[in-house]
Amino acid sequence: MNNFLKLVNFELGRFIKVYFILAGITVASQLIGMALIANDYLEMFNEEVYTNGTSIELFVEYYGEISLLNLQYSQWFNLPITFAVAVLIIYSFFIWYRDWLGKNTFIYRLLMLPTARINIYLAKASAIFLMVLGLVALQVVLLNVESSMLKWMVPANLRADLGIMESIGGLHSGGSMLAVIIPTSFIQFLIHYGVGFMVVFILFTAILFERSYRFKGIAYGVGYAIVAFVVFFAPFVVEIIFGRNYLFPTELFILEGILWIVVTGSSIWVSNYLLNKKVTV
Amino acid sequence: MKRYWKNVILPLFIVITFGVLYVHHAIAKEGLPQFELVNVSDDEGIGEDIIIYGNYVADESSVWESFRLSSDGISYSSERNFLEQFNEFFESQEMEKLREEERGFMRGKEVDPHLYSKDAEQIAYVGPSALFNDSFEFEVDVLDREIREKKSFKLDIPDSDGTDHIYVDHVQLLDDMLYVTTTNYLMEDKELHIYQISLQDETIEDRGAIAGGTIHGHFIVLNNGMGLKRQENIIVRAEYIEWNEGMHTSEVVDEEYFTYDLETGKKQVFEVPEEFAMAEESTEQEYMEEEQDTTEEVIYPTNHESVGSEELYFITFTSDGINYYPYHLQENKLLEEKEISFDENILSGLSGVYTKGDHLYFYSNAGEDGNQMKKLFKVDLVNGEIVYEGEIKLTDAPKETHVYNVEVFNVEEKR
Repeated sequence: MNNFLKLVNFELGRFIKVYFILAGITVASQLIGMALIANDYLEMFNEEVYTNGTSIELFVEYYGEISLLNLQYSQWFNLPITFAVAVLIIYSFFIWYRDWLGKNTFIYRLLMLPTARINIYLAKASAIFLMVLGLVALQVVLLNVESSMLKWMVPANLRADLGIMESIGGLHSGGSMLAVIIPTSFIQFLIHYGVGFMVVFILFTAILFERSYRFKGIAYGVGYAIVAFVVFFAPFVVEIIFGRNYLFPTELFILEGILWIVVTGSSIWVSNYLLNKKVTV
Repeated sequence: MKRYWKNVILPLFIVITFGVLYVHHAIAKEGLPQFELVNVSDDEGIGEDIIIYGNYVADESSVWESFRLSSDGISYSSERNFLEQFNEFFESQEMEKLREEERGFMRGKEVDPHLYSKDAEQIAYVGPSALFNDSFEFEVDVLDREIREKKSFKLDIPDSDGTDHIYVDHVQLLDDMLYVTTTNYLMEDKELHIYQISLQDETIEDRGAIAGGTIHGHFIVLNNGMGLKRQENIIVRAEYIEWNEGMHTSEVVDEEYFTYDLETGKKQVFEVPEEFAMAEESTEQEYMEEEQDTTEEVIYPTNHESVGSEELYFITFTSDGINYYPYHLQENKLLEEKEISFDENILSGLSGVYTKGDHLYFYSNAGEDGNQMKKLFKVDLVNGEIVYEGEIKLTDAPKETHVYNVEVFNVEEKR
């Protein structure tokens, strides 16, 4: 356990500077975005009400009240999230391949550590999970800060004060990625991130196939990933092929829970085997 | 220990942030306003049996949440437990009950109530709801609920040459016969067919087209709102539409209402009350004429039909209230017009009409600032009187700056 925690700390430390930069970009972009959007709205208000003589009621009726949704539909909000997601996806590959890079391959030292090799795999996966969840948690905090900023900048009669969940819930129809990364119920949170982390385990196993068998390993890895996805999504695939829902929604959920355990467990087991018996440096 | 700060800080930050977010959300039900259904006038305790299905909307409809509201209180879609949340929120009580009681029978079937029919002993299903020319085959499933015996078979749809696709509109079980009403799409035309299926012999017979028109027309089986109970007739509104290719416009050239006796195959066309037929035409004209040069709110007539136990009601909402014309189905005659007057304020806020056999519900969302008064009325069409008036009252508004509105999708009576 101690070795595992040391390895997690080590993996976090290797990426922490980039991670802080990602967090910094997100914070800066969203706070600047909030300030600019609120400012533009107030400028428009001043122009319409004080210059053109429009009544406040008519202005609100025509332009609507400003709320967190104005920010959430803007690129100030969505671009840093997209960027952070892209960096973390790339790093999910790089977290393995960086250990094989260079003359004195670091993986050699890692594999020689006096601990179970699966700890390396689990530590890398845990580091990815913590970094993903850390950024999402930061987003939750930021939404609260942005909500407060809006209250400081815009008078109450011009704004709609949405709670965090309310603003996320209101985005469902808008197709924003915020509703995906911050689900409005805890169970949905478990489903979204459960599936996400299963995908990370499958990806890591595919990478280990490639590292173990090199060129042939690419085919093995892709094949493993396809099989894993087919198994996990089999109930849906069957329903699509036969055009009918054999399972009631609750049964489907329970079956998917079991398949999640099977696919995630298999990925960890196969990775353990590859790390112990097949991986080459 | 100092070296491992990343191991401590990051998980702590995650757990605390999400813990606070979801716990706070669960406890405070943040953002969900509380509404009550308050009886304004209800001599017979009708309000106890009403369930309203709708959404609350705020911030110009960008924030919304589905609810069910009754005299017992309000329940939001998101407040259901996790497993319940997988079920359809606006599912009719009848289908919900059927799914709970007959899980084996309902497995793998579409949930469209039009595909089901039941009597005292049996439930029947005919599907799928849409058939295409690669497989014109009905799947028939019948369950005898007393002896727990299930019968399943497939039948090729006869005389389907030249048909492109078929939609099942209505299924009716009468003793040992199943009657399936379908809209068949041909190349340029559309036909309403009745298929008669013998459960004993497992055979199918096409009664032929009982109505037909161009592909742009519509056949609406009005009984569909009456649930799964036994109905010996189907009542149809047929709209015959002509499409103007050059102008890209369509025009209703004829409209007819008829009843079709499923057992005898007798079709009877109704006489449509003139005032009812005129109401919709005048709506279009008035709208075209008045819309450009008036800023005042104009109440345009709207038409509705309801199939009651003995009568078909042709209902028109006018600027004074409701005018309706009962048509006696057995005696095949139009009865005397009935009128119920309403306050103009209520009619100007009319935002939903829900016909339920011999009853009609309507929802009005009006008032001083357009959101203060949300009223539901129930009209007894047999006696021509308002038997219930209720108000949807906002009892707890989490955000003072919000205007909370209510959209009603359906009204059901507790079964």
